[in-house]
Amino acid sequence: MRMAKPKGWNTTVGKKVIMGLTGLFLVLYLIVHLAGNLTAFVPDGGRTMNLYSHTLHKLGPLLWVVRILLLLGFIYHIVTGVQVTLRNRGARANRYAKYASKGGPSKMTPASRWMIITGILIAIFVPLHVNMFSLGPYYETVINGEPMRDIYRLVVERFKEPGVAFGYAAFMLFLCAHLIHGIWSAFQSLGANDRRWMPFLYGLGTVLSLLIAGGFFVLPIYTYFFIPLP
Amino acid sequence: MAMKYHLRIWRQAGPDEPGRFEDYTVDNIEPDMSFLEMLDILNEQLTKEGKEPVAFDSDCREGICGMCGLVIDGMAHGPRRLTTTCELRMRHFPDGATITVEPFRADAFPVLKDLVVDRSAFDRIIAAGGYISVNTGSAPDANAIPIPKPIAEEAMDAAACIGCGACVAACPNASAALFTAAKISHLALLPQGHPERERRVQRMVAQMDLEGFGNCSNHGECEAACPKGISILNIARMRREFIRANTRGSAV
Repeated sequence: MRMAKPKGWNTTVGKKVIMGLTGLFLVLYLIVHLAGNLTAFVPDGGRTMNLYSHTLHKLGPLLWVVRILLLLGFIYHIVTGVQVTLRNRGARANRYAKYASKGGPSKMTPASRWMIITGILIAIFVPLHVNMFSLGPYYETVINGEPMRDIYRLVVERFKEPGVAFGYAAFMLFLCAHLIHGIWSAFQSLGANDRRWMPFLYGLGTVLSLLIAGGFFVLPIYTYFFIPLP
Repeated sequence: MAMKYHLRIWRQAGPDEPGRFEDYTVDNIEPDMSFLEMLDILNEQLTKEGKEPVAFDSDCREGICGMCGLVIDGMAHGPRRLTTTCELRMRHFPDGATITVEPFRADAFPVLKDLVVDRSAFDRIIAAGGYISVNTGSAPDANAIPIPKPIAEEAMDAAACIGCGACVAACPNASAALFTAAKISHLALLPQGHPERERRVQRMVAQMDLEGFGNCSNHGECEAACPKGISILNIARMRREFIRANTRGSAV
């Protein structure tokens, strides 16, 4: 059987470049998203958070451009990730009776082996999450004489439900695992790695993962226990 | 001190035959014997019993030819780092141990017999671009092109690849990225490799994919299994070469 010669971005190397690019784009978004979420910690009854959200929505068409880019990046990342996984599964039909890591410089961890699992879990989480908050009930509040959406109220209300708060936090553990392998791996897939950068990038990947997932993890738990309903 | 081992060895009569594990016991094994010498003893024993000896590959038996390669207890070339199967000594296995021996498993490396696999996919990857074109007869003086020492060293580190296939065997995805990257790297680092660099990476990656190897997921298990310790940073370099070639739009 003679297949057509794979070319350019359709090769195994090209697909990993796509995974890296879309992955880093989504990580950048996560950082911005987390920065926004952290405004919930400001003890002013949601003033800061609502103002932040309102300012964001005033961007209008620009916000839609970002939303569409995000959706495309998200879908492209998932589709390519599934293609990559299917090819990998097919590359060794006869499995080993015994398989072990040799340690040493190996970067193989449960996080690196379960990228497709944690990825699918995140892919399930994101639509539920958007549906709960962005598309959730529209409460209104007035700040500085301006009517705006009271997203803070919705967030606190939802995170007062134990199922939501702890379920959300649990998903953040999967996100953490995905990022721990994903971030440094993205740089490696883009060829942005060499002898000097390797320890830095690997460390950066771990630290960023813990900070990002940690931030998203703490918010629902903190809200559940410490933030009163407005 | 003679030692005894129980072996679980993959036996397969031919490429299209079903395989299975068979159990053997070998006795009187010296600690300084290599893993292959231990298999030689087993085969003598099997021959005397009128049974078919276990087929396995080997040639130089000094760790430089890349011919030998077994998956021993789930690890390509066994549990020792920077060691080929032929240089692995029996003293690294406790007396009385049960050792599982399998062939390198990848669809791109079909089993020919028992522990022997067909690694000609690697030859085809090299043939696709792992060379430089020079006119013979008027070869330039070897020292006419100065190459900085650190660059020469890095190219040599990549060129240390013996093409044994342990990277593919150890990779959870059966990817040949480390092998292909080592070959691309050692030429991409040197001025002699530059004229053909774009088409080299395009062709070698395309051939690697055609052979049916998996994607590289950056597990780095290949580097751990590589008897020559070739770094996955070469894979990053292959990707740089690949991005460079694909953004310049050169003819393949």
